[in-house]
Amino acid sequence: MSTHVIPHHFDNAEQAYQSSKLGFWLFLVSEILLFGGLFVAYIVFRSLYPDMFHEASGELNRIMGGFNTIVLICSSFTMAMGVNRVQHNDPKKAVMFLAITIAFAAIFMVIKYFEYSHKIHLGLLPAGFYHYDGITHPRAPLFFSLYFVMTGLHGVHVLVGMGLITWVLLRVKRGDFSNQYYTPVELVGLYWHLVDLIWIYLFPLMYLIG
Amino acid sequence: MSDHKHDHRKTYLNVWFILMALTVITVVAASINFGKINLFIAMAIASVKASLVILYFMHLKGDATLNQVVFLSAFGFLAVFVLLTLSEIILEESISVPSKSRRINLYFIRLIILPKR
Repeated sequence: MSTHVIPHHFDNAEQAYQSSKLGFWLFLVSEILLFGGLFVAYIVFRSLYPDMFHEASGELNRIMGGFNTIVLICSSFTMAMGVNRVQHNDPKKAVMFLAITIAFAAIFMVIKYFEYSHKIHLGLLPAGFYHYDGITHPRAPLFFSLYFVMTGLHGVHVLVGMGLITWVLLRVKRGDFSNQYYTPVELVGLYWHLVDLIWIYLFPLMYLIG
Repeated sequence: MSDHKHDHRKTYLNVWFILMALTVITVVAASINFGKINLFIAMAIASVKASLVILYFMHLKGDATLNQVVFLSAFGFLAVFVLLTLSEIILEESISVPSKSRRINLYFIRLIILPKR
């Protein structure tokens, strides 16, 4: 079934798998530190202007944010199931779960689109582009700078994830993987769970402080 | 790849259910005003959710020890990043509002993090 050939610099499949996985965990560490920088900015500015954050957060739509949280958790679950099905030589169900995961990711992005266009319409924009009269605090644009950069970078990760899941889905369909070799599916799964992980912190910090 | 021989599907379903429940709880808890504890509650729930995702969906539980150390080190580095940056804010505050205890704190912070001039 699998046509995968172990690269010659590895002793065996297990070693090749473990090496790929270690490399990917290191990449995920760099991702956490990338978002970490933004979280530090958030912490610093929030400790400087706690009342402004409180007021500005009230402008975000909790229902949309909460719904998106649920969508991402479901997608993380279907991703885990998809990886599991590949590992158990069940490509048909794996393709189904991966397709559902992509659909959830698309729903997430559609909701994000509506949220963003509403904010843009009101003038709740980053820094100098900000032109909204509803919040009196002069530092309010700062919150929306953080909001757009943090959720924007996360959104880019969702889009990249959609591309990657589509790629592994096509490869599963082609019969590239089996219980002997499924490294790319496993690693894309890890990436997708990290995207979920970051949103788990973004949601309460952005939406639930108003 | 031997660690994936047994089926995890039931665990995934349970974890999914707990994550959904915790999401509802965090939204409800945020709508009640507990004062300053609100942030603590929200972060505690988020951390429980994150741990579940890491341990079961990403199966860090049962992964190679090296992978566990590598991934958890990210949070160690993050803690250093956050704490050293926050110490700067504490320092700023102690300059604008100098009290005796703060001045002593300030002295130690400077001793630890600032290079000798």
